[in-house]
Amino acid sequence: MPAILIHCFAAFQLMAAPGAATDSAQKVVRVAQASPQSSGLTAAGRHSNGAAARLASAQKREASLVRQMADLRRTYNKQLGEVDKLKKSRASWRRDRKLREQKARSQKTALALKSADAQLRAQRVLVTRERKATARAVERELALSPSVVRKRFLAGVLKNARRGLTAKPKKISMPDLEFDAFADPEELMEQIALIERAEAKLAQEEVSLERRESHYSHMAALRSKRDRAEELVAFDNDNVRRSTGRTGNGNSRQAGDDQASGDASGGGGALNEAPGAPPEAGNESGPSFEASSVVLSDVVDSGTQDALRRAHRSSSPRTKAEAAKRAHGQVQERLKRLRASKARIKEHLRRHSK
Amino acid sequence: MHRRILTCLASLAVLAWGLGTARADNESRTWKLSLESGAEYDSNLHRVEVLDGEVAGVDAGPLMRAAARYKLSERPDKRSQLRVDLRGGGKLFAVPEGQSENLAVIFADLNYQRRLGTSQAVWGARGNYFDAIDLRPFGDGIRPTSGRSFRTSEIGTFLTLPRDATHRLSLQAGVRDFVYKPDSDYSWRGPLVGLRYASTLWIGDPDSEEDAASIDLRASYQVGLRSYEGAAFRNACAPGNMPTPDCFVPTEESRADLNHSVIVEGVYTGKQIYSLLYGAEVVDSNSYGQASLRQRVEAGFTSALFADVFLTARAIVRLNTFLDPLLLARDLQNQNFVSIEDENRNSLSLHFARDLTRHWGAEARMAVYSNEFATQELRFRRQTAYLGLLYRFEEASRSRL
Repeated sequence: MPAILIHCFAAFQLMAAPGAATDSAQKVVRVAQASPQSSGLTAAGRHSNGAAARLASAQKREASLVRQMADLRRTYNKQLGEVDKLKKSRASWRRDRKLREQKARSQKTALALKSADAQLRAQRVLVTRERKATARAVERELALSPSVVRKRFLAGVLKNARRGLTAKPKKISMPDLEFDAFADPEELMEQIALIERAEAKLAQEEVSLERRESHYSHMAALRSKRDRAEELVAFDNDNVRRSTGRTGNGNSRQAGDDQASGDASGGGGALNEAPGAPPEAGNESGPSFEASSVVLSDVVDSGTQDALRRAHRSSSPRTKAEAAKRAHGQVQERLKRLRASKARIKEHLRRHSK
Repeated sequence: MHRRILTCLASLAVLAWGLGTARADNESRTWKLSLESGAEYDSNLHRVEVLDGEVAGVDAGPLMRAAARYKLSERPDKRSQLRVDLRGGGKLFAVPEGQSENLAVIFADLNYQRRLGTSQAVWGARGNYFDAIDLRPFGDGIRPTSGRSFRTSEIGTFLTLPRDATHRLSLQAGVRDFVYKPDSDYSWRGPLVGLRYASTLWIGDPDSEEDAASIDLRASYQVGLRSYEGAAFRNACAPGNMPTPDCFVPTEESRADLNHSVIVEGVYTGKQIYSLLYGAEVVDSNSYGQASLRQRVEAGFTSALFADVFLTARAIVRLNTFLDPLLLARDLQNQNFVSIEDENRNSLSLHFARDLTRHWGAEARMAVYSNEFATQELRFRRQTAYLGLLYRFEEASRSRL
């Protein structure tokens, strides 16, 4: 139960910081303005709160500039449309005068747009700098073992700060596994190095996929058992079907709630599957299955890549668990091949050196 | 009304099937079939209330239960989704006292939704039908009761406006029809509108957190007008007088209720699932004796125990407040009023489940019901114990949309 309180508190903190839930530059982020234990903060704590507040302010300014740009762009497009319209109309002194006026207006807007664009670029640089500063400050504070509640709060701030800093995922390129017995030892050594590099990255992905598989399988099992317990009493006529209780017909999820998951399989994960969830509703938090689909594009087959992308969009833990399991199996298989190939080359080199 | 809804549901089912077969090369489809059967013991099979200390009139007995469920989820194209949920089941008592409690249930739910344009907004239509049917294959048995069968159906439409993936707001509107079979005076129909909000407050990341968890929140409000077939009653006694059956005088007006309901639920999913739900329903009626406020608090817990056994515990506490005086019958055999709105009870249930194979599972359920916070004059106790098997089969086909 304490874990719930901690999560609830942390979630509440994150709710107060919408930027932690979305990476859109247009969202105003207000983090660390009401952090847990703010009265008894250490110097490191005050430093991270200050950095987070500066980041929030920079993000707010960025969002305002984005809105301004959008308004200007709309106006500019409208003015260009007017110019086009005037150009197509019958030639006359009056038309020419209007055209000149309209062109002057659109040029003025273009200049304003250019200036706003420059400001936005500068602001984005500032935001990136603030993100880095916040991430550093938070990491420093985390290293000092703060309280559990504070740690949770900082995790949210860190997630927000790192969001814009994370490099785009790059696929793990697979080295050539063909063994050339006539190759120079230097070439073979280089091949081993490439294999080891890929092996290390794959091993990292393997651990991550295994963790996800276990986590989401457990979550799916819990939810399916919970749903089943409710389903069992649905026919029992115990609930008042004309009144409250849950919406729907007695069983919370039988009629109203599990109809619209982002996942076509629809199994297990009724909890996140609110009514009317878009068929392709995304799930922006949690581990990025989409990134895995890019990182592992040379490792897993196209069906598994699709499954990973689907898992990213889905809110069903079962879909996520299945995708992680499928990818995990293929990563394991590929690792086995890498290791076998490496062993073969090493064996050849050992014999060659004798 | 029911026929029309049934016809509508049947047409939608045919349409769904047609869509499914016509576009079989370009779709993703999942269907699930589950069959269950088991034995149960019910310590108060008529669900009667008695005076404190009395046991007369309380019958107990074993019964058999069986049910089947078919679920289909299909995407005719990338932007739309169709769901069909069909269920049927029944229970048969093994003792003569329980023959009038034998019951069959059928349920059908159809749901179609489509994303609007390039936005994340979703429009949908749905219909459902639920029928509880009295079964008398071996006659009425000993001490028969009038049964509590009913049927209800609903058709409606909804529009969901997601702010982003973690916040969804749904507007719903529809018509609902309810038929209480033993006494048509309690049957009603009427329109309803509702608002729902669902949000995922927190999603943990198992890549970076050891105990990654998620927290979901749901809230809904619904208001519906219920036009009853029976007449509305008025109070014929002077204000302040002790209410007697003579006080309830029927009028020429039909009974009409305005029903408001609010539900808020929070669910934490981590290594265990914890859930807490609060529901309130206000019935504003033009009929004397029918106005009420019903509140419900439900706490749930699901966890893995040992040897792959999962436990789901659920406690429900209900607090009913009747805004007009309520008459209570003490002579159960000559009960001359219907209390269908009062069948809800406080309960505590434990459900144990274990998967035996990929398709087979075993489950046990124990439940205790009581009326601790409801009627003070009478006492209600009921215990049930169930042991059963479950068979599930699932097939999914996907194409790259």
